[in-house]
Amino acid sequence: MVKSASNRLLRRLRKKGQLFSLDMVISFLIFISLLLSGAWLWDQQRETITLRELHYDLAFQANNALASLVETPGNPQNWSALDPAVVNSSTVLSLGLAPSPSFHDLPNKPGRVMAGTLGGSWVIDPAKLESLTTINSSTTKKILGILGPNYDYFLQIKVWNGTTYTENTTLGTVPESTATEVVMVDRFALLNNNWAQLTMTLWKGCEGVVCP
Amino acid sequence: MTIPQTIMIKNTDKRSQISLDLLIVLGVSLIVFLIILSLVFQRNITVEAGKTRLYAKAVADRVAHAITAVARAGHGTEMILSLSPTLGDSTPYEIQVYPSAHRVQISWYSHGEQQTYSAPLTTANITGTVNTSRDLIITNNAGGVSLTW
Repeated sequence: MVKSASNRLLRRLRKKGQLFSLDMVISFLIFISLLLSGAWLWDQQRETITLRELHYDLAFQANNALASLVETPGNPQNWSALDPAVVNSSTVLSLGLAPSPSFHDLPNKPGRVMAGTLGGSWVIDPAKLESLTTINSSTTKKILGILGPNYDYFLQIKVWNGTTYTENTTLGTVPESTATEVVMVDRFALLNNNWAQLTMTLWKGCEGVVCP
Repeated sequence: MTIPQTIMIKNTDKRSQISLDLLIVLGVSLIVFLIILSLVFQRNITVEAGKTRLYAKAVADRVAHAITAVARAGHGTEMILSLSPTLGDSTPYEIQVYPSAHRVQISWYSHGEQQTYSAPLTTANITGTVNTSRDLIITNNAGGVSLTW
């Protein structure tokens, strides 16, 4: 009777000790896994925020570059008359494809005529477009304010042929399949009295060890 | 019913083992806690620095956007921009316009280190400087942008 009672007590003591350690191990594992999950979520959120920031940055630059091309004649206004070899950020202060500054500077008062009929903003000068294709891509990037590590652009101009938009001119580099982020911005203008769709694709090339 | 002496001795031994376990567990917990505290502290520094960078970025982008908008709008356009002398989290900053580099650069100090961010410009025909303590007047004169305050 006494022996069996003492055996039971011993078992209980051993059990308590084991339970105590096992509880600690389990709770420790749960705690560590929660902690690791928290750290993983934190990193995921940071990654998402970084990508959103990159997207905003690319969209900001794409919108500015395209607006400058469509709405302004560039500075100097006759930049297309320069030899492409001497075009750089010192000789051309800004790039634009419009023939004249804006419809505010035209002989007619603003609001009376649309820029399209007289050749102001939103009209593409074919001679300027031709000149733009001859300028070095890195120079174009700098003048258009496309700054950023591994940033590149691709400008596509399509013209309405009565049925659909067909490709007329392309500039820059097509985005790589491994690009980290790609942003596309569209604007419409007139080219040779036809509707033209200008699509500016701004992208950031892949960087780091994960790139193929 | 009385517990034999041998069992009492074993019981006492067990208790001392549990106390040792407890000490070890406490020690490990303390180490883990210190590691966690250091990680949280480091991450907090990163978050704070990131917040300041976003405030700085917003200011530089705002100035760059205003200059670009005035340059695009044509001759006679004027825009007045109110700038705060400090960033959103009260960090002092400096802002410079570099026309030839096509950028607006903002600089500030974070944990003793100078940080910079550049916002792009689509024109280099800019004259004048920015003073953060006064309103910035951006004017388009025949295609050229002038900054006064």
